[in-house]
Amino acid sequence: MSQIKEKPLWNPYIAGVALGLVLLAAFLVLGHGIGASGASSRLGVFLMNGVSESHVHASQYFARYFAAGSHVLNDWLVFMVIGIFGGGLVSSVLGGRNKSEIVKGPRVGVGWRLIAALSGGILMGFAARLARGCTSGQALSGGALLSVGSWIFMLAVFAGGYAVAALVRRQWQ
Amino acid sequence: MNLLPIFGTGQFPLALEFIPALIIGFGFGFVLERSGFGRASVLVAQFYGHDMRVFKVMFTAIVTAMIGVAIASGAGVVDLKAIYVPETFLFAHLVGGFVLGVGFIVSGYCPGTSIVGFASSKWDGLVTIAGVVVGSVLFGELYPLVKPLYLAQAKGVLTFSDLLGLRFEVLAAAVALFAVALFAIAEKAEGYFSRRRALEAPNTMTPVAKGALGTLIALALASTAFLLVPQDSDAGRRPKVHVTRIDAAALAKRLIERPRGIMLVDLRGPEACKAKRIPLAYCFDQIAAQIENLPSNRPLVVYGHSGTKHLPKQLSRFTGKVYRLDGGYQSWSEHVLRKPDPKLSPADYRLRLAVHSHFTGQTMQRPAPVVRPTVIRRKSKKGGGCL
Repeated sequence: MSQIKEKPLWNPYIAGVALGLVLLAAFLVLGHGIGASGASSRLGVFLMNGVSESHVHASQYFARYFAAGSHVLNDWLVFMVIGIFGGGLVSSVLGGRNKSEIVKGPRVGVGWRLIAALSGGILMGFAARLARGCTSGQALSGGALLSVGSWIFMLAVFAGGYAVAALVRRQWQ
Repeated sequence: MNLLPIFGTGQFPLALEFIPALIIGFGFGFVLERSGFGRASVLVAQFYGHDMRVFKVMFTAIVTAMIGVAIASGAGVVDLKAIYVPETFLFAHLVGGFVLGVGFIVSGYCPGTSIVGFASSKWDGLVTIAGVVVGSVLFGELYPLVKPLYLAQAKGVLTFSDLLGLRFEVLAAAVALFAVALFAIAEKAEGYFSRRRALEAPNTMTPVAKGALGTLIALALASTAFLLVPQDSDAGRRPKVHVTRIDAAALAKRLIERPRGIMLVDLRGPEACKAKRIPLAYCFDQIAAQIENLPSNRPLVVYGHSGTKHLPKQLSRFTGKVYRLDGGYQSWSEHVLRKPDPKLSPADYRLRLAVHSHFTGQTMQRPAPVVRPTVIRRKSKKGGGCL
C-alpha cells in the first residue's frame, strides 16, 4: 500500500461541508443522526453474553439490548460502524495514508502510548454511555438539531480536553 | 405532505434501514479520514492550539447540516418533528462530555475516529476501540451506582428553538454567522500558537474555503425567507380517521425499538393519566388543543382503561394513522408491567422478562430453570461414539 504517495488532507472547511452533507443525508433518509459508540457498547454486551448469559440478562442497563427480541448486534448502529470502517479504509488507502503505525510523540514509548489509548478509550466508553452518545451522536447530530443537551455535551468535551491537555503533552510532543 | 425522512416514521421495516446506514457510515468514515481524523496527532493538535482542524471540520459540518435541515423543513420536504433529537439530561451531558473530553486527549481519538484510525492501520486506534468496549461494559456494570446521575435533570427533548421561542431557520442563520466569526478567531489563534512553537501556521482560510463559507451564510440567510411561509401548510384537507388495532406486546416492541417513532395518547382522563401511564404518553387533555400540530407521519396510538369504543372528536383533526391499543391500559399492565409467568416457554419467558424489565426498571432475575423430563441416556450399543 506504500506505492501510493501520501496526498494532502482536505481543507478543513471543505471537509466540514462534506461531513455536514453526510449528516444531512442521515437526517433526511434515516430520520436520525450518526452514531459510533453505540456499536462498541453492543459489541461489549455481545462478548459478555458469550461469557455469562444470565449475568447480562440480569443487568438493569444491558437488558434493554435484548428487550426488542432481536440479536444484540442486529442494529443500524453496527451497520453504520462497518460502513465507517470501510470508508476509512478506502480513503486511507487511496490517500496513501494507510501505514501500519502507532501514533505518538518521540518522548514516550509504545507501551505507555498503548496504555494511554486503552485508558482513554475506557473513559470515553463510560462517558458515551452516560451522555447517551459520543462526539458523533451527541455533539454533531444533536448539535445540528440545536439540542440543548448536545451543546452542553460539546462544550464539556472541549473543556475536558483543554483541562487535561497540559498534563499529557509529553505523549504528543 | 412531507416526504422525508424515509425511515423512522413506521412505514418501513427497520431492517431496511441497515443498507442506507451502511452507506452513510461509509461516507462518514471516508470524510473523517480525508479530514485527517484517522491519526491521533492531527486530532489532539486541537488542544495545543496550533491546528484547530477538529473545531473547523465539526463546526462547519454542524452548520451545513443545520442549514440543510432548515431549508428542507422550510420548503416542506422534511418533517422536522419526525427527526430524532436526543433528549437533554443536564448533568449526564455535562459530566459525560467532560470525561469524554479527557478520554479524547488521553487516547488521541474519539469513539468514531478510533474506528477510522484502526481502518488506517493505526494500532493505537484499535486499542482505543477495545477501551471503548470495556468502558461501555463498565458503565453497564456500575449502572445502579451511576443511575441517579444518568437520570438527573431530565428535560426531555429540549432545543434552543423551544428555549428561546425562535424558529429553527432563524437560529440556524445565527449559528452560521457565529461560527464564521469563531473561524476567524481560530485562524488568528493558530497563527499565534504556531509562531510560539516555530511551526508553520496551517492558513486554511483559502479562497475556496472562503467561497464555501460565504455560500453557507448566503443559504442560511436565504432560508429565513421561509419564515414568510406559514408553518402548517398541509392542514387543508382532513380525511376521516381510520383506526387500526395494536396489541400490548406489539406496542411494547415498537416503543423499545424506536421510542419516538410513535406518539401515545392516554384517554383515561387527567387524574388516572397523571398517576400512571405508558412511558412517553401524553395525557389527552394536555394536547387536545394542538392535535393538528402533531407530525402526521408518525402513527398515533391511543388507549383508554380497557377497550376504547368512543374516540374523542378532536382526533379527527389528526391527519396521520391512528392505532387503538387492544384492551387499553389494563392489557398493558397485564402483559408488560406484571412479571411474566415462569411456566411460559423459556424463549417467551426471556422475551417477556426483558420487556418487563425494560419498562419497570426492575432488575431481572435469572431465567427460570428449564424443567426437562429426566431422560436416561443409554449408551449406544453400536459404538462409534466418542466415549
